[in-house]
Amino acid sequence: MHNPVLLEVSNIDLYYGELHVLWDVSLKVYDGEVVSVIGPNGAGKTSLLNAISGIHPIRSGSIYYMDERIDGLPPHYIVRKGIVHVPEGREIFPELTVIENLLLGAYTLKDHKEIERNLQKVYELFPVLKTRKKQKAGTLSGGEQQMLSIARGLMSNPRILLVDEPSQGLSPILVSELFKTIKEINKDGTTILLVEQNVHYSLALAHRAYVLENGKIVLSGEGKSLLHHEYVKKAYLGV
Amino acid sequence: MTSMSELLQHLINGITLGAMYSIMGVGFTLIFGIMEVLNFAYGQLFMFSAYTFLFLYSFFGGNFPPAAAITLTIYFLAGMLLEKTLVEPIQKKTPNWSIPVLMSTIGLGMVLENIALIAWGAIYRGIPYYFKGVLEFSSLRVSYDRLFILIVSVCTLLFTWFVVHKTKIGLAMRAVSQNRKAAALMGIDTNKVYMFTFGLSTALVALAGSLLIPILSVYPTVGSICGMKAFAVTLLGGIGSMEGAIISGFILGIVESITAGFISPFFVDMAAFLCIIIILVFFPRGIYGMLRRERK
Repeated sequence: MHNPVLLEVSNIDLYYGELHVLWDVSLKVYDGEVVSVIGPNGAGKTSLLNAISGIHPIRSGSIYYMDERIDGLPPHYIVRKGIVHVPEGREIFPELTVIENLLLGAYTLKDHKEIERNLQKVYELFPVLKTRKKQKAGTLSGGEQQMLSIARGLMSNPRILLVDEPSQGLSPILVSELFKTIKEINKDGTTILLVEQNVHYSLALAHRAYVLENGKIVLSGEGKSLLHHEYVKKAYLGV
Repeated sequence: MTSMSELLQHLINGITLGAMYSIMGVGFTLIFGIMEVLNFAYGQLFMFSAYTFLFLYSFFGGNFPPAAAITLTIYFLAGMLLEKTLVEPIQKKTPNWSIPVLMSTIGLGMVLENIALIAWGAIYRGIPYYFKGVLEFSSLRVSYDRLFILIVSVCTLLFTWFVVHKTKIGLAMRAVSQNRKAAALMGIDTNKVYMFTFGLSTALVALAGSLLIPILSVYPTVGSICGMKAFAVTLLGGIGSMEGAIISGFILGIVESITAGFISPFFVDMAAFLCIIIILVFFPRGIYGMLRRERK
């Protein structure tokens, strides 16, 4: 049976000005899961994450996190609740050092021991960050910047991590490593909502998945069963 | 006086003046670097804070510390309030807020200048000195006031550098300046950071206003030229760069006092702006660009 629901998005509509981007989108994430949202460019995947993390307001519907309504709250409140968004395109702070970037990830924490513990934890997960800690983040390679972005997200001990297109711009070897790391993070107890264009990897990893097209959820199910779904095979896997 | 010691004398005067320009430049560049807001009420806030200080200074019977402390507190809070009332609402309503915000600061400057004219009239006011006396080494003479101004300014610059580079709020300020959205995703209340930055910037200009009174008397339009100089120091330093603003503040101060001493006091502003133009023609990103070895 399922664990309790951690995050529940119900019937949300989202607009950019006049442009209707998300249409009546609903989705559930159970505690401990990896849930993937796949879909083509411009389907509204990033907007969905922006709505959850409070970066973009929704027009109607609701978002609940553990029985508490969170839509309408500013992003810095939502982070404090344990929902951390690792944005598309990494969005690291290029002029700050790697360690400063990581400390910003722990901005909401007060306990220095906890921050130090989390730092050791992400260094273990991404050893390269430890060797680069005094370097400006802008000088890192694309893959290292992606690791930094995820590590920064983990610094506040999130309950749920929203990860947007982590494989973007990475070489195939790095992509496969990255997905292994995401799996590890999930095994350590962090729930993950993953938005990806790399359909094969993300469906193989996900417990459950949703297909988002033109702002609407068109299909959902278990990750592995979607991998063999006729429609997904034809539209996304090219087989 | 030999010409060598004359030069040294002007250098010392220039360094004091430069320290003040540095403070004003740092305050100005701070809000641009972090919020991309150009505060053209800056000079008028300088003027207003000088009047405030003058009032408090006589209220406390010529006691500098309490008068300065209260002035700084008032202007720190006033800066936060200005951000909340003049900047934030405009930023929330339109993504193209830079020109409207610029206009609202220019408007605020005009209002402050006119209030000063009505309230205090077009009269020069000042304090002859904070500390009487002159320090002499052989032929060099430095008044205690100038020494005092220099020490307070250097401490203030160090303090500001420390806040921006070594504290949690400073880290948040630097994060917000590079990527506001990502900063919000880290759990930073970006509006609060903006308010704090504006408050800090306004407190810096208020300190300059309080310190400069014995050197520069106060009148309602003193702000326009000082605000222009703060902007010039910022541009010369490389807009948004604190280190650049400090260096260019000192350059401007020294150029001005050497011009005043060796050529004529009438040419001071001209020389200062000529120097700025020349540097900017070769290094459009100012001292900051020069330090980064700008290539074309």
